[in-house]
Amino acid sequence: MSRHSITFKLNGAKRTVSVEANRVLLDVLRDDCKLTGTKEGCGIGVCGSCSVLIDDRLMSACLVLAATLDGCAIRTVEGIANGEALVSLQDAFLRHGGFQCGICTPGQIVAAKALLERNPHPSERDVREWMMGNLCRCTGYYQIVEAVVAAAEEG
Amino acid sequence: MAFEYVEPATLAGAFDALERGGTDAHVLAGGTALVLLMRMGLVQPAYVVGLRRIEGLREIGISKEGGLDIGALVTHAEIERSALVRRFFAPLAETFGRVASVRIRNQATIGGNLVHADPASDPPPMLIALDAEIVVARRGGVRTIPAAEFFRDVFETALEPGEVVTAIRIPPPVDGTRGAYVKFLPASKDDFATVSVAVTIRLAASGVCEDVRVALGAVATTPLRARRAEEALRGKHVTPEAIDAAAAIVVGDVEPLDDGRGSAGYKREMARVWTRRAITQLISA
Amino acid sequence: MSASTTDSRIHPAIFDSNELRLDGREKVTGEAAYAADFELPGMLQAAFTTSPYAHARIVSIDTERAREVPGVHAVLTGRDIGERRFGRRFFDRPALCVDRALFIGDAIAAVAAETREIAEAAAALVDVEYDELPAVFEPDEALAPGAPVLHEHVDTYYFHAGKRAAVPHPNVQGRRIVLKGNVEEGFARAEHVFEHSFTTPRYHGGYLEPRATVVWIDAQGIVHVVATNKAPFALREQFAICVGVPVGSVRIEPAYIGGDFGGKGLSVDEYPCYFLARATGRPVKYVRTYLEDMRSSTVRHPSRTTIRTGVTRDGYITAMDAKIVFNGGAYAAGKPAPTLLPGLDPKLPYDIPAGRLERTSVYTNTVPGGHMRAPGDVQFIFAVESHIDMIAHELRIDPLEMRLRNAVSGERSDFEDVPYLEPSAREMLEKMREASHWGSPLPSGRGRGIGFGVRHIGGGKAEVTLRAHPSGKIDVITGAAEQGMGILTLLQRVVAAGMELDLERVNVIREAAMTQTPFDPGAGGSRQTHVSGNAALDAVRRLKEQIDANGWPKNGALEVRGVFEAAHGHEAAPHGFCGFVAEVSVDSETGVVEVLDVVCVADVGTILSPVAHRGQLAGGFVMGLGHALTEELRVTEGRVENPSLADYKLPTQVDIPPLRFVNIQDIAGPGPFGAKMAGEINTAAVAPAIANAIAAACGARVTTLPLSAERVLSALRL
Repeated sequence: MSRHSITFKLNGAKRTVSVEANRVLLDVLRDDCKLTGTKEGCGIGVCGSCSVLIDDRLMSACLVLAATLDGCAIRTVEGIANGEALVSLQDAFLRHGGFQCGICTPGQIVAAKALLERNPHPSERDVREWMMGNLCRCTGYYQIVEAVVAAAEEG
Repeated sequence: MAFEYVEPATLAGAFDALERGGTDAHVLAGGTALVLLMRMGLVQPAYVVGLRRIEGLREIGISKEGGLDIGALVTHAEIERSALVRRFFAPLAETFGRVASVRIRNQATIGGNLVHADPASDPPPMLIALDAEIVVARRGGVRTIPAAEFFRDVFETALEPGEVVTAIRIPPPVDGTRGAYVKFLPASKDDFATVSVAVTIRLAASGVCEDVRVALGAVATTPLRARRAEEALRGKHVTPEAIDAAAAIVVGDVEPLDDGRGSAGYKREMARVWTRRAITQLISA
Repeated sequence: MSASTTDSRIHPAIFDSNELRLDGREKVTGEAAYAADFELPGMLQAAFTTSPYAHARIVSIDTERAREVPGVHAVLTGRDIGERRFGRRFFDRPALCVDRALFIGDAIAAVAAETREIAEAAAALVDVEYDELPAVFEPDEALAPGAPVLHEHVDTYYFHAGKRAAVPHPNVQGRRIVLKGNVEEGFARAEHVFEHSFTTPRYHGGYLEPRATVVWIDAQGIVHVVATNKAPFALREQFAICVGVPVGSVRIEPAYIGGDFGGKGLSVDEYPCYFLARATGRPVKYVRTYLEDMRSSTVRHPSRTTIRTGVTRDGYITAMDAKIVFNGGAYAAGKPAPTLLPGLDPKLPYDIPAGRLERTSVYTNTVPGGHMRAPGDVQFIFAVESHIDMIAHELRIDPLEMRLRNAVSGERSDFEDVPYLEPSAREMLEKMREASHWGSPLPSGRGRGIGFGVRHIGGGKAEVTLRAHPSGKIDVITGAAEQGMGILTLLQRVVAAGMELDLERVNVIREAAMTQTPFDPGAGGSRQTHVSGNAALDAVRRLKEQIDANGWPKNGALEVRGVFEAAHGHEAAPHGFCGFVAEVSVDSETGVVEVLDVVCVADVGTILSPVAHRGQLAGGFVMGLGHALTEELRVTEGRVENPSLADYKLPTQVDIPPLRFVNIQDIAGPGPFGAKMAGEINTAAVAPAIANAIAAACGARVTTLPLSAERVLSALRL
C-alpha cells in the first residue's frame, strides 16, 4: 500500500497529512483532521451526508480518494460559519426548521452553499433539483427548501 | 483494498504503470465508479493509475472539421454547462445533466462513464445517436472506436489491456438536426433510467425523414442502436402511424432484464411507448 | 382518563411564536455529537462475522487465524460469552449466536482491533463450519406441518415485566384476537358482504445515521454506553439484564440520534461490544455500514391482510372480520408490546358494531421485524382504507359519504368497544371535503382519494427535574433522548410557559441515563410531548408551590422533581385523528402516478412548537409517500437484494408534491396545555389515500404496496 503526503487547504488553512492510498476524504476529515461535522450515511455517494466542497465543487467525500487531493481547497460544514457568527444560510435553517435530527444537515448546508455560490437567486425548482441528492428522512424537505430560498432572498 | 496509487505526469507514464500492474491495474478518472466498487469490495486492484496530472485530457474544443472534441477527463457537469457544447448541440449537454446528482456530475468524467459501461447510463445512447467516436491511446498508437461498437457487455468495453480513452469526438450534426434524450423514471427521480431513448432526426420541408438515429439505454446488456426502427422511418413521411411502426420494431430489438426498476415485459413495453413519445415530441417541437 | 396537568383553556402566548431550537446551532454548524463521532483514548474498532445462511446449525468456530492478525485484541464467539439474549420485551436475540444462525446476517463472532480494517480482515478469517438447515421465509411456510422450529428453547427466554401469552404454534411470535359483539349476527344482518386482501412489503427506517455504539467500562466498573437508542432508560435495563450487571452500574451517555423512526428502540451491537470491552479492557466502537443496517438490524414487518365486511345497502358497517399476518423475521426482540406484535391493536375511525380482529406475527428466517413509525398501522390502515373505498365503489356510494356514515362518535366505537373521548371524525371529514374541493370535477386521468385514520397518544412514565437558581434562571434536567422531534426545546417552552418566564431564563440539560437522572421513557409511541411534557408541568407545579411558600431561592439552588404517568394503551382518552385527500394523475400508458396535491387534516390540539410540529407532519407524510410509491426492501430466500440507499429509494426533494395542512385545534389533548401528538399521526393514511386516488383516476385498484407504475398498469388492464 502506497502512502502519500498531501497538502491542501482545509477551510482556508493549509494542512499536510500523510495518507495511505485507500483512504477516502471522509475518513481523513473525521479521523485525521478531527472534523466530525461531515457525516457518513449511505457510504456510497447517494445520500449527501458527506457533501463537501472541493475547489468550490460539491462532491461526496466518501467517494474521493484523499491521495488525489494534493493542491486542492476543501471546505466542510465547519468552514461555513463566519467564526462564531452563523451565516444567513445557517440562520435560515434555524428559523425555518430546515432540520430535525440534524444528521443530514451539514450536507444540506454545504450543498445549499454551493448552490448559492453558483446561483444567488435560485427558484424553488432550482433548489429542489440541485439538492435532489441530499436525502432527509425527518423533515419531508419542505422546510429545507424554504430555508434555502429564504437565505437566497436575504442575500 | 490495499493498492499502490500512482499519478503519472504523461500518457507514456500511464502506459508504463498499466503494464507493470497488468490485470491488477485500474485507471482512475473521476473515481465515482472505481472508488465505489473498491469500497464495496467488488474490485480489488493492486495498482491504481490516476490520470489527473496528465495534460490535454480536460479540454472541450471544436475541431477544424467543426466537430466537438471532449477530453476524457472532462466532467459531466462541465459538459452540461459548457456554452460550446450547448451551441454545438444542446441536447448533448442536457443529456449529461440527467446523470445522477450534482455531486456525481462534478466528479465523474465522460471517459470514466464510457469505460465503466453501465448499460443504464445516460450519455452512451446520445453519443451513439450522434455517431461519436471514442479515441483510445496505447503505447505506440492511437485508434478510434465508434460509440456503437464500444460497449460489449455489462461493464465491458472494447478496450484492450494497456489502452486508455483520451477523447471523444463527435462529428457536427447536419444542419436542421434535432435531438432529444428521454429518461423514463417511473418511481424515484434520482435513479438510473428504467428505459431511456436518445433520438436525433432531420426532416425535409416536406416532412420526410432525411435521417434519424434511435438509441436506447437500460434495455439490454449494452446501449442499443435501433437500426431497424431507423430504417422504418428513413425516407418516409413521419406520420403517427410511421412512428408507431418504428416504435413497435424496437420491442423486438431490446432484451431487458428483470430488476428492481421493472420486469423485462414492462421495460419492453416502455421501450416502445417512450420511443414513440420521444420521436413524436421531437418532431412537433 | 389521563388528564393534562394544566387547564387546557390557558393558552400562553409563547406557543404562538416560532421556536428556535436549542440544538439548532450545533446542528447547522456540524458541532452536534452523534454516537459515531465519539472517540476515546485507546478505543478499539469492532467488526463482525455474520451468517451467510438463512438457517444453519453452527457446528464449530475456529478463531485462531483471526486472533493471529496483528492489531487484533479479541475475538469472541457465542461459546465464549455464553447465551446472552436481548430484546425490548422478549429477549430472544443473541448477542452472538451460540448454536444456530437464524437469518442471513445473524452475528456469529465479534472482533476488536486497532482499526476497522484490521477488525474486518480478522472477521473474514474466522472459520465457521455450518450445517445448513431447511429455512422458512414466509409465515405460511413457517406454520406448515413439518416446518422447522426456529426457537426450540423459546420457553427459556426472558420475558420482561410480565408473562408471555401462550401461542398456538412455536413459530408464532404473538397472536392477539379482539372480539366485539356478535359477529355472526352482524354478518347475517348485512345486505352485502365484501372480502379483500392486501399486502405490504418490508420497509427500512431510512434514518441517515447508521446504528453506532461505543462501550467502555471504567475503573469503578461502571459500564458506559453511547448508543443510537432513543429509549436510554429502557436500554439501560435491557442491557443490565442481558449482560448480567446491576442496573445501577450502567450509564447510557447522551448523544444526538440521527433519526430513529422506531427501529432504534432496539440496540443490537451494544451487547457484543460490551463483551469485547470487557475482554480487552478498552473502549470498543462499532459503526454499522448502511448495508449492515439495512440487512440485519430491524425492518417494518411485511404483512398480508384479509378483511371481510358486512354492510347494509347504504354502506353502514354491520360486521367486520379482519386478519393480519405479519412476517416477524428471525427474532421478536425489536417489539416492545407484550403481545410481541408490531404496535398496539389498531384503532379505526369507524363504528364497528360487531367485529373480530386477529393479528399474528410469525418467526421466519429473514430480517427481524421491529417497530417503525406507526407500527402495524401502516400495514393495517392501508388495507382498511382501501377496503372501504372498494366497498363504496361497489355500492356506488361516494367514499367520503360512506366514511361519514360510519364515523365514530361519542357513542359509537371501533373493535375495542371503548368510546373515543371527543372524537373529531365527522368534523375532520367535513374539513377534508372542504379543503380538497371534494366532488368538484377533474379532468380525465385524475382522481382524488381519501385516507383516514386515528391513533392513540402514547403513554408511559417520565420525570423532569427543575433547578431554580438565585440568578433567576431555571435548569430543566431531563434524561430524554433527542432523535429529532425537538423534545429539549419543547420542555423549555412548556416550563417557560408554566412558570410565566421568558425563554432566556430557561435552560435545558440533557443527562446520561443513570440512577440519579430523572427517568424518561424515551421517544416512541408519540409520547414525548404528552408524558415528558406533563412531567415538566408537574415539576412546575411543585416549584411554584415552593416559591409561593418560601420565595425564589436566594442561597443555593432549589430542586424539585416532577413526575407524570399515563397508561400506554387504549383507555378512553382523546386520540389523534388524521386524514389525507390526495389528488393524482395517472398516465394510462405507463402507469406512472403523479401526486398533484395533498391536503393533510389533523386533529392536533394545542401546538407547542409550531416549526417542529409542522416538520413532524411533513416528515410523516413524506415517509408515507415513500412507502406508497418507491420504497421496498426486496428479500429473496432470506437474502436482502437491495440493501443500499442507491436501490432502496427514499423520496427526494424533487419528489414532494404540494402539501397543505389544516390543523384542527379545538379539541384539547392530554398533553401540556391541551397538546396531542404529531409523530405518528399521519403516516399510515398516506398510501391508501394515493391508492384510492389512483382507483378514482383510472379505475386501477392496486392492493399491494408500493403502488409502482408497473402494478398500476397491470391493474388498469384487468
